[in-house]
Amino acid sequence: MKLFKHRPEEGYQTKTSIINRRKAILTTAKYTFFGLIGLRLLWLQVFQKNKYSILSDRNRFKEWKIAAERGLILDRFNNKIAENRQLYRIALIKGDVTDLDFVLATLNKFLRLDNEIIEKTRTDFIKLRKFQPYVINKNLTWAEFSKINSNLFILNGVQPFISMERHYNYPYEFAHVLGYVGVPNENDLQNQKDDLFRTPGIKIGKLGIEKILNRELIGTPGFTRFEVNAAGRAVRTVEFVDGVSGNALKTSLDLELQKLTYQKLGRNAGSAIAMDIKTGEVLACVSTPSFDTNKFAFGITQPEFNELLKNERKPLINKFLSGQYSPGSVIKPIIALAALENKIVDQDYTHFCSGKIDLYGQEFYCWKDGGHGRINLKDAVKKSCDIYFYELARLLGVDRLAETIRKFDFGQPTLKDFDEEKKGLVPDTKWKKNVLGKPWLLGETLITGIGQGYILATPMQICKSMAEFANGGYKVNPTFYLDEKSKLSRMDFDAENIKIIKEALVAATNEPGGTAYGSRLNGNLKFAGKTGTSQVTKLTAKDREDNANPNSREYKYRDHSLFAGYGPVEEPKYAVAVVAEHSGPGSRIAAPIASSMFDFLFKKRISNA
Amino acid sequence: MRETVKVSKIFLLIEKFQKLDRSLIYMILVLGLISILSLYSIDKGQGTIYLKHLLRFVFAFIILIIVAFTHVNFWYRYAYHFYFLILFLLVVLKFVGVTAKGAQRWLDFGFFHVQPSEVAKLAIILVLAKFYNLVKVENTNKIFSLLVAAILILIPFLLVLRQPDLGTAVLILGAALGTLWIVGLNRKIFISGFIIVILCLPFIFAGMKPYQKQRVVNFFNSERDPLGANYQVIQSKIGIGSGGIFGKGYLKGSQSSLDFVPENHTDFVFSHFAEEFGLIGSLLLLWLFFSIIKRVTLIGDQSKNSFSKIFCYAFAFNFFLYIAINLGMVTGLLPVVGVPLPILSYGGTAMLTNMIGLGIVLSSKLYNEDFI
Repeated sequence: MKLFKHRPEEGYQTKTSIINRRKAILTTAKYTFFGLIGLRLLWLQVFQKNKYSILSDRNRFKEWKIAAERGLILDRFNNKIAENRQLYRIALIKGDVTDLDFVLATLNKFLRLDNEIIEKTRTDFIKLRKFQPYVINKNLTWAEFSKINSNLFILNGVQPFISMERHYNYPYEFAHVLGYVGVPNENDLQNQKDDLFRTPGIKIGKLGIEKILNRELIGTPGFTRFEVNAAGRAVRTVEFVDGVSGNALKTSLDLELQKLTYQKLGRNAGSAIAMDIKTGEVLACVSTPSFDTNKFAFGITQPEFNELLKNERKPLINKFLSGQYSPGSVIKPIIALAALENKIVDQDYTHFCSGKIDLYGQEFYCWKDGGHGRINLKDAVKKSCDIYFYELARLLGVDRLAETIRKFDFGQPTLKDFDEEKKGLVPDTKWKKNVLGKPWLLGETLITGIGQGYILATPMQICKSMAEFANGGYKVNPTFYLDEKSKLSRMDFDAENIKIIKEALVAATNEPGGTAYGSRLNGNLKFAGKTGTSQVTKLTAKDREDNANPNSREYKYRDHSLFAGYGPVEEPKYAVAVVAEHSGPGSRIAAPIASSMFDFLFKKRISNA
Repeated sequence: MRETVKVSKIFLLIEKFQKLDRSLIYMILVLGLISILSLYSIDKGQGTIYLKHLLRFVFAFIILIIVAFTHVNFWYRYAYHFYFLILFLLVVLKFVGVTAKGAQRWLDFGFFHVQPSEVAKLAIILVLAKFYNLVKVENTNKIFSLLVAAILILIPFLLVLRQPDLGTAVLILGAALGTLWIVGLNRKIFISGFIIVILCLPFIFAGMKPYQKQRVVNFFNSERDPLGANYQVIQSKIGIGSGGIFGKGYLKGSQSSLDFVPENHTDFVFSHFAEEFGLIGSLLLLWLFFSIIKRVTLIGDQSKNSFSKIFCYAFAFNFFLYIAINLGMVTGLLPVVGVPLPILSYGGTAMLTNMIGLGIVLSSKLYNEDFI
């Protein structure tokens, strides 16, 4: 075989040298480009590693959070007042649903869905990402749920599931104190730093204790972390972390008493509070009329909500914290104490009540036509004589009066964390000058002495002050929880003076002629207390004549009926305050309600204990 | 007498075997191993792609050895035949080709598909090497030889471009230009050609298919449209970048395994490798590729005939071009044109072409003392 076709010739030698030179240039180009690629890799893999790692994980993992079961809310005897119920619901999984129209039509056949729900599902569904579940806004009965389950083979992409939802066992009774939960709105989401509230299906506390202790109650959501592929389908479960249900919360409330109080307030608009006088634990606090918190938890309809908003009795207002009233005669024990403390009078000081007094041409009346005659301090409290207290107020002056009232924390919130709580108002000369820009008038001092005029107080403040009398002059901090250790600190009042006032309060309820005598309890255990009738408008002469029939006036001008008291008399344990709006004299409406609360407490809580 | 001939032939074979460039073969084997392991990892051990690739690699490797022991003279003698055979196949493709992804690229031979455009890259190098081996050095820049060369290059280039397959067409042109450069074509011609291309760019752009235009536009607009056409490059960069210095570890890469990186078995295979083995692995792979190129160049240096020299240098350049364009593309330095990574990417014809090319290089080494 001839292996050599050509002998090398001269020209070929030069060709080799050309080729070698050109090759060297190419080699340089190759080095350069490889260097460039190397640098590029260095840039991507070292300097931008973090950026790309995050992007890679974001690609790769998707988390589906599962809201934890909300903590139970218990009363002081471990009765459940808010719990969670299993709800039967269905979700549609986008990407698995092959024919949305068919699925909706079929579901409609089984569940009879509202058109509104169908339309909403249809519009929301389009916006979903692939494989994202969409929960249809309807609670199913067990029968419906099982019907769907047995027809799943025709319902592509329908996923029935059981979820835990808040349920209030006594929605009306506890509405204002417990509040309710709801779906977080844009505002809630923005105020929240972490993404807890973005957990699908989570509900957050919107009002009351549910809102204040939301963090404790909400628990920690569980989550499933999936590895997903580029199409968004879960490839495998990387991690499953169980959620931790929220802590059960034991409150100081007493379910039975709360129910009774709600029932006794009945159709009155108002509020009632019962409190332990040593610990400040609130046993009952009811505001009426109330509303169904379960409806709020599931999303109340707009017409229903508007109805609540328009109601002139204001069901949405928490009256025991946000209701501000002229305390009326309920303030008198404090006025009497102020007089004694300032040594203006002693307990034997008497004053003559003729039914009215003239002050620079202005007339001030006692509630009792014809007056009480000569009367001492104890009887003035017992019979609630206005003229006597005008005199005490005149002798004290408004600033000394205000000072004592403020020692009972009027004019400031009693609780730390209720946003809706109002502060009330304790007027004095400085306040009027600063706020109203006018000088204080003597007449205003007089009516402050009977709890009218500028002075405003909330039922919680009134109840607290009564508790502080009852325990002999120790500070009380109202609370809805049991675990808070309340330390007793003396208020700087003479114990002897407190005792005098307490005796007067006992007399007011238990001696004939006392304003609350009609509501007294006849058993071994008795309660003491002071009625109050708070005027909403200045009375005209005609009104005075009509006083026997207050219901003749327009609702919003009728008097508020108040009562504040404590019991049992011998060994005080409880303080109670009742305010019934626009319902008439304190003795007629508020005192009987308080009486039945004391009756319950004495019979069921003391005798049994 | 017959016995002696037989014995001497066996001795000759043993002698040749000892002369075989072992280091190049080892490097090829390592590359093959890496490629099979990578494909296995992309599918997390599922599927059959890595097995198919293994079979193809073994088959191509046997071809490589056969080619290596075939005298380089065979390729010299049949270079024109080979070239015209490929041209014929490219034309036939127009009529009976298998359409995939909008382009007619494959010929169906029943149990396997062949992509003639891939083989055309080899053919153009061979035909130019033979042509310039014949042309005297002083005639290299004469009009006649230029004209012949231009025709030899443009026919396969245009045929492939019309398939349409921009990536392969560019590579054919690149391989051809590389060869012309090596044989000593006047620099002025290159420069003026370059200027003409620049001037013609708007017309070329206007003549492009919409998807090709999109790719070019995207390249100059990177990361503006993350879910659109730039998606692949961004996902590829995420894969590479998230690997970091040491990588996520074998079988732990997620970008390709979860299909975020498209074409993960073929053009973007490097992305997965870099994700799992990090900067260190990537640089080692880069070094391996570079060593192969250097080795091929070295074999060219040792050859005593111009044909072998031209072929080795041109093939080395072609090999380099594949790697450069592919890596440039997956790291976001160059626009996306469908260029596979030699041997690593899944794809039979490209593998076979590269192995035949490397076989001719090995043969050049075995017969480097011989003149053509």
